[in-house]
Amino acid sequence: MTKDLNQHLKDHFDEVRPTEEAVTRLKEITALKTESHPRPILVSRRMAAVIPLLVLLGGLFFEQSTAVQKSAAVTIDSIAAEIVANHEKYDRPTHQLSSFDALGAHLKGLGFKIVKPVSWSGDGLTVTGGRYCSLLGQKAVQIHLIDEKGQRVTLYQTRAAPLFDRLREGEARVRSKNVTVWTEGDVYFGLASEL
Amino acid sequence: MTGEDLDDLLIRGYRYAFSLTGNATDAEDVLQEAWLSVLKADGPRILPYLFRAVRSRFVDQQRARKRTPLILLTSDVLEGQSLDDYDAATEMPDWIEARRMQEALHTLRSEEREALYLNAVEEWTAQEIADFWACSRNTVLSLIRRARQKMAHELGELREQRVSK
Repeated sequence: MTKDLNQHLKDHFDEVRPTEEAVTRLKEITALKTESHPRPILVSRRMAAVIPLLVLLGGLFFEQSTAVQKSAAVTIDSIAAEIVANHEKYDRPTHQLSSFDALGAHLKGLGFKIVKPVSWSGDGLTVTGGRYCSLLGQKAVQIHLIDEKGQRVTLYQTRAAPLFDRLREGEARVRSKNVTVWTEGDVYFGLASEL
Repeated sequence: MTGEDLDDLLIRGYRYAFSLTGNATDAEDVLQEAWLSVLKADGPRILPYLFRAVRSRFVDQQRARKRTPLILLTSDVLEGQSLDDYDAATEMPDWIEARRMQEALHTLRSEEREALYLNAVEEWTAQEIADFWACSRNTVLSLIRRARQKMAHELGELREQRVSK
């Protein structure tokens, strides 16, 4: 009894499946994105464009800032979900280096220099490596660290593009992980750690 | 889109990513980034769009790793070749193990593996693949034929090894 190559390939790829965890993660991200719906961002941008006019007319600024805060809250959830997804994957670092400077010297394709964030001491954390990744479709770096208890911590850096204007800083919790995001100059940071 | 439709879309996206990368870890990575880009662009949640995103992410990944890029715009024209010129039903024994099949697939160049996957598993025609890649149909036909020859060779060797045991 013989089968043709096409059938063999179909049978073979039938068995090729992503892990349940990966599918669940993508579905969760999908749900978050669907809830956030991109249109409110467009609305916010339009509103931002007319802020000077609103200021001139007076009185409506409070309403505008409330709308911005709402948009920011939703988007922080979205980016936190993506950061945690990357954190949980914890792909092996392409560069096993022990300092921000060394990583910066090797990972040069980001359009900015990898730096140790000044507003975060990093006490008790050891850099173990880094790799390219992406945040909201932007090129980013995932820096691997280990804390004093041996737990994984991942730090993300990407260019602080206008995309991040609505979420310059904030905190969120996703699946027992704590996520903090903040901005320093033209670099946007995200930190994921176990609760 | 129902949950089942989304599952099916993601699984097929993963299989395609797997056909490109040849390993599970990279396939998941590529699929995740591709799916995020689809969501970010608020693109249609349909197979061709996801495949395009997966392919784009794979190319980015390869460039980042400074490996051989995937782009295959060098036409390898086979004179007078038509769709009937390659044997879509190369007969194989039915005992090929998954691991052996994977090893045989690994002997293919990524573009050969991709062409073979799209043609044999997704049942795309050479013209559909050519449209997807924006290259000539002859290039696709050439890749598919070469992929089939290599697979037949690899799996043929396997059969001999098995008999000798």
